Amino acid sequence: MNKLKKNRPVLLVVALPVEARPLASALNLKFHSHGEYRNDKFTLIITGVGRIASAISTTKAFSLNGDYESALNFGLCGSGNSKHEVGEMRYVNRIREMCTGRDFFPDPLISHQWKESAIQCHDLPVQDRKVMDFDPLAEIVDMESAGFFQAAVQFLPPHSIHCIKVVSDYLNVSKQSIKVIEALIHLRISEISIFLERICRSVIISPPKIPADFQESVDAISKSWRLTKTQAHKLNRTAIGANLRGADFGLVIDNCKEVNPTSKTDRNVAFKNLCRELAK
Amino acid sequence: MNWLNKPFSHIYIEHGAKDYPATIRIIESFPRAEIIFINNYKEVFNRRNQSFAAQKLSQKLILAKKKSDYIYDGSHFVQEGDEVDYFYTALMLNCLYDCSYCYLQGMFSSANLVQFVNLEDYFSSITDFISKRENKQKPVLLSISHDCDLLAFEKVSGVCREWIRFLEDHSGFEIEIRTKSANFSAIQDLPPNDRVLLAWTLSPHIVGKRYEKGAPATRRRIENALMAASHGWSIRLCFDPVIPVEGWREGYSDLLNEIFCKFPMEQLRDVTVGTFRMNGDYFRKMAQARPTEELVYRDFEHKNGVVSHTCDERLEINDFMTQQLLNYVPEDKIRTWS
Repeated sequence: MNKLKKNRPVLLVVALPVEARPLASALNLKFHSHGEYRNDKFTLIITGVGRIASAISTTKAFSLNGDYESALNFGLCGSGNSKHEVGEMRYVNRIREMCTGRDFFPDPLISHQWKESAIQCHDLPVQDRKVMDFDPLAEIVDMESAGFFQAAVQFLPPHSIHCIKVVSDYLNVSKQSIKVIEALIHLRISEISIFLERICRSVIISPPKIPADFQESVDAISKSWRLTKTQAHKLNRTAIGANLRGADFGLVIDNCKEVNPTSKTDRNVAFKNLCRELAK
Repeated sequence: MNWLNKPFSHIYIEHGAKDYPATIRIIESFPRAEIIFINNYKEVFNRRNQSFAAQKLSQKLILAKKKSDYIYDGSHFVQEGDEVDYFYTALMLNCLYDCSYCYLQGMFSSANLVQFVNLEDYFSSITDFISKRENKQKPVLLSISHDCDLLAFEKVSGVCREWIRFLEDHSGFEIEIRTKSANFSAIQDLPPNDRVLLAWTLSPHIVGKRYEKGAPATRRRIENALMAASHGWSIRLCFDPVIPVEGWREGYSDLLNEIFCKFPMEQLRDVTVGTFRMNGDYFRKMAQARPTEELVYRDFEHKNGVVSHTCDERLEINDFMTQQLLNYVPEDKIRTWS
């Protein structure tokens, strides 16, 4: 687990410009095209409000560039619990899509510093606490998370999909001013940046490759022996296995250079012997 | 990797499982864990597109209620002969350890651990099953640690202890608890029971180090097997799978010597030997899920839906192991899979 890939960007998905501005500013993102803000490590999209809008925009982003390391839905949420503080951050560990009653589960492998919550994803703004009684264990509410998650999970494993929310109100009718919301997010930018650094990294090691010089020798043998596609593939796999075992294959390859099969039968015998030697 | 959550940082609990004593006991073992309630364990365990390799780095625990299928027919991959009826039960899905050759990584799409907590339902199911059997003369061996390593998790779950106690009052079958753990201390206060077979899987140090990530060192497993034997428990020793690596003959020969120079043979029920084998579909999934495992690049034979060494290789390995074992163990106690 020592080779960490760092070159694939992270997709940031927000619903409103007011949620995007503090992130774009802190991460120094520049407007690119297709409504995306980018730098080398992050791509940010503004989806508009609602589950469907979020799902469509997330899918579009993946279609334009399917190679994201992870995806994060960031935004504001309301809280049905008056003990939550405005400005508090929540990592979402269960998303309840209220219109279908289905639950979705991000896979929380990456550590963070916030409390965790289940969230209810509604199609309309929630202004009455009673609407949340259907799932009393989910105390925060938004309008995008379920759409975002369902779209993202088509492209990424669940451990690479994250939802973090900032509590902005207690389901009040009155709207917060833009300045207040931006200030709430600004206060959390350093915490968010730490988490973003973590989700930039790949948890999984990429498939192994064999050293370039060994690969060249294997390719040369495949060519000079006129191996079939299947044989060449098998030789490559056997070589990867030998490399993973830390086998010393230099001598085996050198010996092969002196072999020059002239018939199919000779080639097949030589190929079998080579594989056997590499597999030792 | 301190940016990853610690193992069992999150516990998923089925709504229907939350009031079981086992659930309450297990939750108490993880006071800082985040609890997430779910309707059905399959919502989490069977999610699409999960990464087994990534989840192994930060396993989560799922507490669930098993609703049906408590007892399964034994697999044709085990060494039990016709003299016993072999069955297994799934009390837990997945394992704490991360062995390269393990079929679980091809069998399950998730590396998270599922613990079924409704033990009473298992007990009534086995009681019912035993009473309705036709051939009551044939002994029944029930593996309770089949798709998991139950003893490894015993200090948290206490499931082995419950089964051993249940066995004291219910006749007609034996149980096998197979493990790679060094966790005998979790049950050592219990009186030994002849109808409980404690089975340790052992590999030479070189194999253990390379292919059995997270499992206790072979030396500690041997110590535990010896301790259990000295307490009067029946022991099965499993050299399975025998993995041919460079110097494997010396490795296995030394291992047998290390064990049998001090093992109380009267406590040895039998020894099993087997080579690597796996259901073909599981192997294909494992190869996709674990591309960094050297084993998936080996030139195995794919025949009749089974991936294994070639017949000649299997014979060679089994013959070698049998010959070596005969130095210490009578032939009728050696069981091989070929």
